[in-house]
Amino acid sequence: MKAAIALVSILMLSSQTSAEEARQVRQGQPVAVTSDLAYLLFREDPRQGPGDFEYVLARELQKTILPLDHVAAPPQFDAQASLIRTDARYPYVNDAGQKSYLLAVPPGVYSIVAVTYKRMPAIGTCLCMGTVRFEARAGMLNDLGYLLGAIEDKPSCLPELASYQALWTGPTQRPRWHL
Amino acid sequence: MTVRPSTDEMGAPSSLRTLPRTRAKYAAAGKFPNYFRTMINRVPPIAGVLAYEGDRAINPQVPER
Repeated sequence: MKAAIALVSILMLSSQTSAEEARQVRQGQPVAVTSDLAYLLFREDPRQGPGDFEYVLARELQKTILPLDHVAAPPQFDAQASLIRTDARYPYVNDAGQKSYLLAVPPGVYSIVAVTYKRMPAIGTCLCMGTVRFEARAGMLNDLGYLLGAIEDKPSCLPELASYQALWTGPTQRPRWHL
Repeated sequence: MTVRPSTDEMGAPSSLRTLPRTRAKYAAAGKFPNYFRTMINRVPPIAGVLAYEGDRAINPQVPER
């Protein structure tokens, strides 16, 4: 029940590709560079599953990522209005399972704040114990590389996520910051 | 989840190759409230981008003052 409520929270707070003027560009739709838009390109590794994950981005209040401090500042965003959730149903390119996704968003600083898992709709994870941010530059195709998902209670075949799983398979069976 | 930052070897879709392209530069972001009231986790360390000192997310490329 708690998990279901959690999912509803994520869905309500982050309607798919909402966040004001943001939209997900579908296959075949035109792409035009303008000074008031930033395009975000990301790929999925087909080993992680067939479009299983959707990612929630938050547009931060700050306008630039700099200056950086040694201790990372938390993302500052309006949880009611600044969230964008990607839609795994609509890759921009699906080349024999190699999927790329394209978002058109207002320029600014974004953090990846949560991930949801489509095959188990009650699963969603807030990345609130540490995550990454990036700057989406106007009039550019901002290449995010790959976004890689995994569910917490199963080993991932992706080497980058080996420690993600290890957090959940230690002697305590839970990360030590688990509330 | 995590990110695999963009490299020169990662090609863009052919229909986007005419656009000016930049590789996103990632930086660490610290703890924030669990607004979604769901499970919590953290992005694993990423070389040159994100590291941890205990529970604190840090930018490993920025020395401590």
